[in-house]
Amino acid sequence: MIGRFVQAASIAIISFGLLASCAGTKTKLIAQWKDDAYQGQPAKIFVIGLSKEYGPRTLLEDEFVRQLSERGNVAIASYTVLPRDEKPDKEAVLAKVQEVGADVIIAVKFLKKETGDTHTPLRRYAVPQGFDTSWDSYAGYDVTTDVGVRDVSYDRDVITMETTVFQAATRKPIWSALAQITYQNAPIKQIKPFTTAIVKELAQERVVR
Amino acid sequence: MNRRLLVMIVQCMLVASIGCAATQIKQVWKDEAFQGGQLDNVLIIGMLKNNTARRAFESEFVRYFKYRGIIAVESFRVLPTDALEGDEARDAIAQKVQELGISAVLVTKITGNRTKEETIPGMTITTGYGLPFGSYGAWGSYASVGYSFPGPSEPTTQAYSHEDKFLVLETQLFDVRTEKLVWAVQSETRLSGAPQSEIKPYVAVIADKLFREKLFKQ
Repeated sequence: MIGRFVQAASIAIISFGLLASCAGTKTKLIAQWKDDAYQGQPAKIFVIGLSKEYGPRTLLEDEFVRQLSERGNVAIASYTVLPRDEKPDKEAVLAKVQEVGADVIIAVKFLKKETGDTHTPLRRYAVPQGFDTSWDSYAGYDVTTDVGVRDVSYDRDVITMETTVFQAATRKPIWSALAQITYQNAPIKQIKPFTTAIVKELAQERVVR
Repeated sequence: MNRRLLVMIVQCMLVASIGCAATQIKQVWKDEAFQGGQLDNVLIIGMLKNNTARRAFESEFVRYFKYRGIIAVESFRVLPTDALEGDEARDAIAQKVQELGISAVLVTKITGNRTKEETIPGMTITTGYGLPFGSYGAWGSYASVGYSFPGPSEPTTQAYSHEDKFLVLETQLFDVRTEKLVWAVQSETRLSGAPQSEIKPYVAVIADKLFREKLFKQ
């Protein structure tokens, strides 16, 4: 009886693990750079999402501002001060940065999106019934049940984003990172975990508070 | 006894790590006529299109040079990415080299890539039931009498195939004074994920090879 319970539990755990890994969203920093000479702490951060689409850009910038503010930074989203319909050039952005008194710029850029297929092949296990009940029940080994994990095939998307932190005064980069976001559901839902990963790293590297 | 065992374990781990290294040196060339120990101010150029990858690559190399007390400059600090493209790249680099008093230029570029497909056949592992019992030394070998229980105990796996991707890279060292190539290495890096993840291990392998040649003033 207990053996069957353990068997059922094992199947449930394996299935849950597979489901979790299939549906999982992951943000991974694949390359990171920091200017070792930079020692400052930003007074005001200007966040700009370099996206053609206004909606996702505002969501991204707002999330960055929210998470940076939570850590005690002062941050401003670019869409609140830059015109909506036209794509501002570099000089216009820098002029606005100066106008709002920001000393650090966080620029987030979408680089590419790829679609990949992941396939987990079938595995089959023979589980003896009564396996773990007691020494006495080992005779029950003559009854076995084949349980297996079905082969699973699913598509996942991978987005690559580049985040660069510039010093407004020198216009030089002080930190940058390439992040790969692997996901299955809507890309818009990846904004929060991506921002969390970046802001956490920025804080660890002491680029922001 | 324990010490000998420890040494053996460390040796085995070293051999295993070398065997598993993603970057394999394919070819090394050195100008035997070149008088080493002269170069001391090096410009590091990573011909990579992505800015973060280029910065990470060049700064990683610079760390190795600085550790050995050799002055080195990342090219991204003095040359924008577009300056490394096109026919004017050589002139732009030459101008910076002169301005900064550079004595050597270390250039790394991707020269190719290849894909290798490998098929892993399906497997069925058959184990005898009596085996785990018989292996209990303290219990004696009574179980080795051979408890034979019927029924399948054959974990099976399906055959599958996977692709290995490789990146071919070349790192070259030029002597500014003569404008000649003095050292070059060609390597192949197996990619287990994003190519950018291989920057640190690649630089470690190449820097080790480079500094063994004693080309720099130290």
